Amino acid sequence: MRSWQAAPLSDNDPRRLGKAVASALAGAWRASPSPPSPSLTPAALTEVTPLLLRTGAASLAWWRMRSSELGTTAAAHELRQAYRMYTLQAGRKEDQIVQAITLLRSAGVEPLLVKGWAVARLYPERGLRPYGDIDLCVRPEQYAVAVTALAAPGAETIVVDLHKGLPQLHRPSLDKVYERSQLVRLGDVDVRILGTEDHLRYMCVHMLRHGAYRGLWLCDVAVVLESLPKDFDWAYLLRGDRRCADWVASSVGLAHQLLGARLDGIPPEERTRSLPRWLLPSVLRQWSIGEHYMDSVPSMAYALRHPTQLLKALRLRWPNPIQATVRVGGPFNELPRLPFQLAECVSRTTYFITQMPSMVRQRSLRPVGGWGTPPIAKKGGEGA
Amino acid sequence: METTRALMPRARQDELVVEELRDETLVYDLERHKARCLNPTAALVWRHCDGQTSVAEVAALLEEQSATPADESVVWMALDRLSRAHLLSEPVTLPAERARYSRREMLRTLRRVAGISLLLPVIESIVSPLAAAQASCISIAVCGSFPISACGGAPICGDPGQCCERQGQTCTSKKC
Repeated sequence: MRSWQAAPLSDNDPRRLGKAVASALAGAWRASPSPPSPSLTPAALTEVTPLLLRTGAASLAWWRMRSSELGTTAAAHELRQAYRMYTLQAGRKEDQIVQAITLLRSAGVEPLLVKGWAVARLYPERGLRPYGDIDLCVRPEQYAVAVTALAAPGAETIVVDLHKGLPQLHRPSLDKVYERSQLVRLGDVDVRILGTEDHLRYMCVHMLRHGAYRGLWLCDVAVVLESLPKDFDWAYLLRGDRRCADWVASSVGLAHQLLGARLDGIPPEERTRSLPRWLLPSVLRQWSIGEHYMDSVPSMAYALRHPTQLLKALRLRWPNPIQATVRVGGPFNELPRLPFQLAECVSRTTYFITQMPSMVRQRSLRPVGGWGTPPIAKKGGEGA
Repeated sequence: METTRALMPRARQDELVVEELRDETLVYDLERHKARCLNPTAALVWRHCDGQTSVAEVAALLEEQSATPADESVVWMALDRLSRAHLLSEPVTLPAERARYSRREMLRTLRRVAGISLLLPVIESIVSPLAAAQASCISIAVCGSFPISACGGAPICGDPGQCCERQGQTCTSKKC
């Protein structure tokens, strides 16, 4: 595999900050991460700290810096404050997960927890991987019952992102996904989470669908790769839709090349797979921006009410090549990405226009998932 | 070393989330929505706020655990700070002779002992607006559905500078 570190980037290179983000996060998910490379200077850390804070990776960066000389800098203190805050939030979130699952089970619904705590539990400390809402998947036919159950008195503050099945998984059958799921203890309940293969696949596709804009998501892929069970089934992971399998394999390659994820136990043919040339630079460029329309940036509804924000809102909605390719179901090959970006943009604009009347009715309530994202039922808000 | 027979006050128990880390204790106040970080000295004093242990006993314990000479001034300073941070069940009243102590006098007393920087009780506020914004932005509708005790100040998705705050008897979007 090519080594991205080999090529030094100039001060004007739009990928420069992304590279510093990668330096800050490399290996940060391990219990005892190695100290950051000397190329990450105090000045560089100061520069990328807002990016790390905005994308939920501040805790991990602090974890990596804490025993190094950078650990005493003002920037590291900011990262540490985030780590403390996330640690406090994690305990409350876990209580809410237990509460939500208990409510659903009492209504006869067996939810599958995806992302969030399901991956946070693999990190050395629970405050290292923040998550905003609780992603729960239920069988489509049980969705209405689940919504009612979660509307129970006392559950108002539990922010659940309720999914009807898991279409992003590109699996033929939800029954099979449930069959391969696993139960993991959290407090007084057993939480049902995806089987490791399905979980890794889901996280990879989710990350790419959102343009891989959060370094945290690639750390998730890395932490799963380094915690694989002995009986991990690579054939099952990459089975089915060929393009989806390529996306997943490319995510694995990205975690290795950008963050130094270890590939022990990975089949040789997957280790040597090369990434399309545009992929890695696209991630670095996205990480340098640190903003994405999925986050708390001006919604289109807000921008239309505040025209000074319109240009920024539109600029942030131009899809990066990764997001565009995956959202239109394109292949990861060497062809130019512009056609995919245009197609994705047209698709989202169309969706936005069709949603406009309801958005106006709801005023600044952001369309679910941002401008043009295929609708996913939500009880609550957005999150990591 | 000065000693008194004063008993420790009781620590507040309700509406707090506490996380013990290796070298600090984190506390989230669910009533005031304030997060704080207690260093080992402040945490040790807080842990012994049981209404039964004496101040002198805690000072001795502090000395034993830190292997540094400590006196009651350290404990009183910690109690004062815990009280200001609303982490005690009732505001602490310093005894008359302590109440006369200004902070400078307290520090002068503390400087008599070695290892002052290690022993000083520190309670730091945890503030990280960008991290908070990342973690849990919510829609206005969700904010409005919260009971007033749980408005929480979370940022509103897609509306920069707006947070979910209490207004009268409802939670609504207000400037952060």
